[in-house]
Amino acid sequence: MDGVVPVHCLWRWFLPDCLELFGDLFGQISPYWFAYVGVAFAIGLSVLGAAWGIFVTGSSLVGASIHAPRITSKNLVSVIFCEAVAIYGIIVAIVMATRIGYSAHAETDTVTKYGGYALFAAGLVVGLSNLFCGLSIGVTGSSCALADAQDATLFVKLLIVEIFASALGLFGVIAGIIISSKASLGGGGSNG
Amino acid sequence: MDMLTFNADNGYLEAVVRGLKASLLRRNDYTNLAQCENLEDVRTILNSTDYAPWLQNEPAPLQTQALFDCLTERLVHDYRSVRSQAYAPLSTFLDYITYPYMIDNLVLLLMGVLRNRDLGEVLDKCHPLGLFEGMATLAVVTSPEELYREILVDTPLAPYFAECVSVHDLTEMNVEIIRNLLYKAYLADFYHLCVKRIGGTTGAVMASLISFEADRRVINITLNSLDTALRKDERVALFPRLPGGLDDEVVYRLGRADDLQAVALAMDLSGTYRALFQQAAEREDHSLEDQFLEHEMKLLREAFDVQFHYGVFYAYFRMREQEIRNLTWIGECITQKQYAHASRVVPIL
Repeated sequence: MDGVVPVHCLWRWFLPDCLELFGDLFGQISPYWFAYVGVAFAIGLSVLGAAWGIFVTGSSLVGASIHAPRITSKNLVSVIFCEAVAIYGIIVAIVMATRIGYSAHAETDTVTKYGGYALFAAGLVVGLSNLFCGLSIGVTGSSCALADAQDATLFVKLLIVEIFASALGLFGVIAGIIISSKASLGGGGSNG
Repeated sequence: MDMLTFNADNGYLEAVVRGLKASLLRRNDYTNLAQCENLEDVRTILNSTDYAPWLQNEPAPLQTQALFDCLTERLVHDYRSVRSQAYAPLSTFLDYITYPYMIDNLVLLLMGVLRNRDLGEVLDKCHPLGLFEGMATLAVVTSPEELYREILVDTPLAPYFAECVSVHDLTEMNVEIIRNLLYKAYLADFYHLCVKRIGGTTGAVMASLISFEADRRVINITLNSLDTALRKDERVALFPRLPGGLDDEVVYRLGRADDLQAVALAMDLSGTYRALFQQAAEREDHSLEDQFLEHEMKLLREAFDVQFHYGVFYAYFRMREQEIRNLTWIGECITQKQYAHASRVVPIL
């Protein structure tokens, strides 16, 4: 090619010379890296969602409670729902962490490679679903606090909307646990 | 995306203002107030509302002026407490809410100067939200250029004065023209702030509110200038025009209208205002102004149906302003023993 790189092969610039295919680049990355980044996603994105939800709900709750102090204890439920999202994240992160063990030759083992990808995927599934779940609870919780301050009969009805929002995170948790239960790195986990 | 980021800076204040809005008087409060025999009865009813701490220090025979002052003091207190906690775009937005008061105060002072009133007396009548520096020195002003150079240049109204330089001397009519030109520039600027600089939900909600304000001014300017010396091209120059407001055709006809009938014909082309005009003609105890206020209150109530936007702040202060007008009206009716008229108020909620 005389040093001229065709445009459609630009990505080859990032590929070390010793590798033929771009997929090989992934193959060179340690499965442990994937596994631990998965754990980081699971806990990190869940906490981001929970924190975001709490500040959206909390700021409205604090303001609305000035003129209707009775709403504070009831609407703490919204904050607890948001907190639950972070708890989902930490539960799944702990389950995922137990699947990771260490053995000297594990990195080249196909079972370990499979486990690395599985934990990475599980982390993304749990993290993203909990992030959006937290945002959803936050916005509905904020509206719930404002509505309750105006009319106390609305609280129970709006709480049901929030419960449905908080169920979204649970879907991610279930999928994440199923995915990570098949993973085993270096003999980690019960079936490894 | 407003719903994800709005609450970081403004969630608390929005909720506070919604709480304040819940304390506005309702229809049955007005029914009770209209049955009062004297202002002490009014005080008894208001003591069961949020106004209690504001009225408790007033001496026993309550006067309408004292009632008005207490209510205004409360409005100003609400405004200042919200304004002092507001973050950047909201604080600018709240500043814009006070500019109409400034314009009204300026016109009040200029009128006072033209009629050789005592300036101290006129200053007492100025709305406390619209105070600006240099108000006390207004008596020396003789021409619009001087008015700009000496006083307005240091106030936020300065950029709005650009169109007024064509006005040559200060007569009562020219002061009215200055007021309308200032309002026109103010509405355009406020619209730009809400729709272009803040945008999002705030832009969508505020666009309809400000357009309504502009339309109301167009119609009122037309009605007020029907039998005056104001030329028709001058009249059209005063019309605040905003996107989403009255149709070009309606505005064109209003600009050429000679009498009330021509205005009514022009209004027939616009759905919302035709209904308001008809109702004003049908209901004897309601003027067109009342119809406009009722329609405005409806729009303001609708602003509260949407969350995560600045429109609620604007709506709340407008509603509170209307409540003060209502209570002052009831107070006046009771003082002058016109009990039958006391129920003629514009309900807010």
